[in-house]
Amino acid sequence: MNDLYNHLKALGINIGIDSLKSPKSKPLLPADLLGGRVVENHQGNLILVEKRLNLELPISNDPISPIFIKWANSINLEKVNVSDFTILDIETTGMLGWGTVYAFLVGLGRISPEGILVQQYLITDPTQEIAQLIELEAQFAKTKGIITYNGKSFDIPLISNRYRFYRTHPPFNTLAHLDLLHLSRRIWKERLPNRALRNIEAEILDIQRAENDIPGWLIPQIYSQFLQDQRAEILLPILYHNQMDVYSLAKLFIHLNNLIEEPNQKDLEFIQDQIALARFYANLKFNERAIPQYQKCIESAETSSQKLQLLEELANLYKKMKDYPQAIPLWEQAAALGSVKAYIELAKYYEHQTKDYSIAYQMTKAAMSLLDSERFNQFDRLYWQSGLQYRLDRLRRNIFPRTLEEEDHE
Amino acid sequence: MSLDLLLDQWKTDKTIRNNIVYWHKIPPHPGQYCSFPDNVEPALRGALIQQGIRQLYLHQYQAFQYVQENNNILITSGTASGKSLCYNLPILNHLMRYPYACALYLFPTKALAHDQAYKLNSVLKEIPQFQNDQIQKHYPFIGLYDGDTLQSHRQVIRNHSRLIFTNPDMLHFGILPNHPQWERLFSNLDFVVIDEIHLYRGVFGSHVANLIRRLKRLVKYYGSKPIFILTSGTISNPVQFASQLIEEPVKNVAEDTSPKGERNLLFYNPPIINPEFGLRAHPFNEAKEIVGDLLRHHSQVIVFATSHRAVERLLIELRQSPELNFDSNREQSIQGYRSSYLPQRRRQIEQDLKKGIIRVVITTNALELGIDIGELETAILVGFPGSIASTWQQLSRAGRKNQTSLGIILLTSNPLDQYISRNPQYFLQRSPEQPLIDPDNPLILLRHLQCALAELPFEESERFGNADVNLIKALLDALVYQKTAIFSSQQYFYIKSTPPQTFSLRTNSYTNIQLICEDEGKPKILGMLDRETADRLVHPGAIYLHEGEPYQVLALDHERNVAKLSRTTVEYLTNPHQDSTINEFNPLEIKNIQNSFTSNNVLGFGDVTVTTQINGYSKVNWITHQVLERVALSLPPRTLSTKAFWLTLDKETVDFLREQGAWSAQPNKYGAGWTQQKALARARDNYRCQICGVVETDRAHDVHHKIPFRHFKSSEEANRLDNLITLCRKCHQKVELNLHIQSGLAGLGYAFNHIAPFFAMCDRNDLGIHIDPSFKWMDRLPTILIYENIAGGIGLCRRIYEIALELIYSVYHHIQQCPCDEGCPSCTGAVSENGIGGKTEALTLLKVLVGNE
Repeated sequence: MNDLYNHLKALGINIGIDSLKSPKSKPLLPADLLGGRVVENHQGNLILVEKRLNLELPISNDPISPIFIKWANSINLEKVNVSDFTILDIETTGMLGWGTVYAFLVGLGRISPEGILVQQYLITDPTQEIAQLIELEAQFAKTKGIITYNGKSFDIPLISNRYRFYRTHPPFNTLAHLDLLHLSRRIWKERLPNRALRNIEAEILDIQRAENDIPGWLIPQIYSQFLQDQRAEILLPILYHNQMDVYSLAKLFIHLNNLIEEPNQKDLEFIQDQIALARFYANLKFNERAIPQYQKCIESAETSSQKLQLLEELANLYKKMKDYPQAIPLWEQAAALGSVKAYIELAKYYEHQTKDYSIAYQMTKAAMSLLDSERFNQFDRLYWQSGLQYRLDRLRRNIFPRTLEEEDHE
Repeated sequence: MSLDLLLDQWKTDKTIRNNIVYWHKIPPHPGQYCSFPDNVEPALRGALIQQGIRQLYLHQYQAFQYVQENNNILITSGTASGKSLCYNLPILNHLMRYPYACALYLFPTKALAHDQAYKLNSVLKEIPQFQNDQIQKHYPFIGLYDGDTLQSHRQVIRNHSRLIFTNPDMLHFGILPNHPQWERLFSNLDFVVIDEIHLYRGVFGSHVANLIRRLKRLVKYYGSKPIFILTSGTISNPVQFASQLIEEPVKNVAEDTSPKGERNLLFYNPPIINPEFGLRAHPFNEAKEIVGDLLRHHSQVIVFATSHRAVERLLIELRQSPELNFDSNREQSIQGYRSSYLPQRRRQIEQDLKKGIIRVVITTNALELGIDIGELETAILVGFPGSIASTWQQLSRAGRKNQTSLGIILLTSNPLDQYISRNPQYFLQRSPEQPLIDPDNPLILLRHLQCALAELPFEESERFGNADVNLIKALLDALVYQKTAIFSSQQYFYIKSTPPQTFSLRTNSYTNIQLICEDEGKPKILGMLDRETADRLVHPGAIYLHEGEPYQVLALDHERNVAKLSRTTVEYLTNPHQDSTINEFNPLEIKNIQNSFTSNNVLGFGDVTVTTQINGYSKVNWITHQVLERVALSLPPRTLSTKAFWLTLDKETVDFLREQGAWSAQPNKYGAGWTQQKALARARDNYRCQICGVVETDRAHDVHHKIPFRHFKSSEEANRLDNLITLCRKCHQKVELNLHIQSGLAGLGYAFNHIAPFFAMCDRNDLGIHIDPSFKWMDRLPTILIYENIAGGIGLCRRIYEIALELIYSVYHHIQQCPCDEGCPSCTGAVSENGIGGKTEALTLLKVLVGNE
């Protein structure tokens, strides 16, 4: 054996015989130190840390907005309340995109009129993972859906992999999933360049975290350190961080739910947010909400190019609804503001809907002369010109069929 | 027919005939056929018949039967013998019966995987059962999973493909570490195909063997037990090698029952144009003439060159060659083919070869593998590819079912090539090399153990392949000690927050150096080299070739692990100079050379620690190979703990050489002013020997050239006083003797260094050499030591130790037969390069060793 160790040592592989004592009996779970308790099932035990936090919001058990449900593609859900959903956020042992990383800490949150109950399932030894997954499965059985931030590409695939690893089916198939990252991107894309949860909570929800809150990327290293030296106190900042993530998600969820259900002036002080919401409704085909929202935005548009853009979009919405009487004045307004597109839409309308070729011709002409103005550069012109010319020629043939033939003969 | 005509012509044409040192004919043989086994599914049989396959070769039938009986099989039936059907037939048949069953195909390169997938798909499209999902849901039946696979396709392949085509690197980086995502595959894995296993030798092979251990471990976890189907090119003892690789018994399907036409194999040695230096005509010139002849006779030719650069140079030269004037369409009909060409371009070339649009293709070993380019008539190898196996592989690119084919080995002036030119019979009779791997090399094993641990925790006394249990335990403990793992509840767990599989399978170095070029402002990464290779190839001032373009190295930063390069237009290459010392020396086995006429010349094998240091480099003109300048460098020394083989001369031999030394010292003609300079030197040194201090008495002391006379262009330069020293007769003899032995050793070392890799079946860079006329670990006796450039070794030196006598004989005959006078690049090294031409001394030495006076 010593020969082997010397041989390995010569190759630079150190085994450190002295430091390897026979393994000590397992340390007791540091539940007290971490402010939690030990939970146990047939596969083992782990630590559960529970905390009730005040959301500082006047909420009762609000229903989840049907728009929200539709957005999440969960049509089978009807009349669900915020308390029917579970918030989920995990902390992992390694970096993204590595298949055998696992979640050593899973934070769940349940909203109720009393506030939010945060439950953190922490494993302090890799052998406890099965017990953890069993606890989670029981929790997921009690809920109708989950709420995450980027969970579609991170949390859920990762935990699913772990269930598969232990040869069982992931318990998520029947659950609705609202990934708030995707919605936040929609709403605050224009205004906030950074849609990380930390930034959203600071900008939108006015949440202040403790100054010494650790950055997320450091967490796997800290946990690895803990596994080496078993100093449980270094896990405390991770528990706090995860708790704050769950808390923040709960507030964000309620905020978004209110925002899309009954947007009020306070939540929408920025025009960019109002526009984003109008587009969100239009995209989900909630036209009865999209139209007034667009109208409001048009009234309070800050620049004429913004207004022009909104006019075009709303007109387009009416066009899709085949409501031309509503669309035409909007196109006319937009055209007056210098929209080539609006002129083209008008030309299309007169040519194809009312067969009024000479008005269509005028509109096309107007678009062309507009293009000649200084506001457009050569690339814009190149982009539009040939289409317009083609349209113009076709209209001319429709208006003066004879004349053209004669011209051809000459 | 026209090829036969040309061959007849060559037999009589003296200018060609004289250069053909050997003409070998392999007679034709007919094919042996049989009908499909009864238990082949009708739909599969139908699809094959659609493809024109109406019956099987006998060996394909045998392969099918072996698999039916649940055997692992190894197919070694040779190129173009329908190897892929040997595995595809039983696998597809099985997949038709079991709708969840899957197979994993490992190919050594991406290109080969793509080629095989393309071919197999043409069979699959005739089988409705396999087409349904593919057509209705766009689930590919064959999932090509490699670095080029789009992210969006990966999930579909993971969840639905029945055959996964990949390569070892992707298995290592992409599949095994993410095994939970591959649960479907691992739970239903009934077959693993490993194609072209002969390529998995050396460090790479040792990695792959461990990769297979990891794969088997996971597959077992998910509850499958796949059958392994392996194929191999020409190697010695393939069954032994295969079962070492997969650590399971295999049945061999070896006989090639496909029909073959007559094959001609020509060894062609370019004529000597300068006998003094043993200089031969450049093989490229010969290649031009031969290709010209072949094209005039409408033969389609594949030319193999030994390097990327040689491909490009040959391409240019052939396209410009006046010998090929008759071909008006040369740009089109002569093409290069290398692995760095874009995939679409390569597919195009492959197609054009099959259609006959391309008449000549010049390539590296990129086309050596089983990529389908149709049946070619002629293969020309410009330079010996380095191994017998590879040579046969390349030669077999030309070979047709019923017609004559031709293979030409065009030899260059390097020692190995010239060795073969003199021993073609030996080459033909010798069984090809046996690839060596050592899956239990502790450093390689440690890395894979770490990966395996991250993939799945280890039980306390769990085995890992056939590796020694104590070794596994020691390495797992080392991981705990390094804080990479913890031991808890009788299990080892990986606890690092970063993945372990960041190392490359193709080297065994932990540290990689990034090659960065900042010529266009933004830094661009050209590639990576492991640290040891980096010292040799990208030391400061080195010229590094990347995609055919020369770059000069501006700096090599060992702290930040980067080398900075810049594009250059210089016309020289650089060769590094390396210094080595042996710090630790621990013989494991020793034997005396029996045949030698003194009995105590020793061969040894054991553990050594070598410290090497790059201390300079020479700039070499890349056309004339002339040394332009030598530059000193000082890179940090490297210590390598590895295995070595050595040859130590005993005292009797040294004494004998001393006697012979007197014989070998021929009087030099030292030029006109010699008598005068000699007197001046003695006077300057006060007529005292500058070594022992004896003052001359009745006989005048000798005057010795510190740098040997023949190193100088003129006698005036050689005889300058500062190059002269006064020595007594006795001391002078000693000095000369040392020089002779040293030069003999150096010459011998040069030859050994070039020829040993041929016997150990490895690359030249896998072996290092240390030459010491007074080796402190062996009683200060002259020693040549060959060590493995791979930490821990993988068995190369043990192999050399075992066949040392054969090697010594081969080197002896080779040097003896070399027509040069004083040593040349083909035997003991160029006089200008290695200092004193050690040919005579090397031969004297070898005569002692082989006992031949």
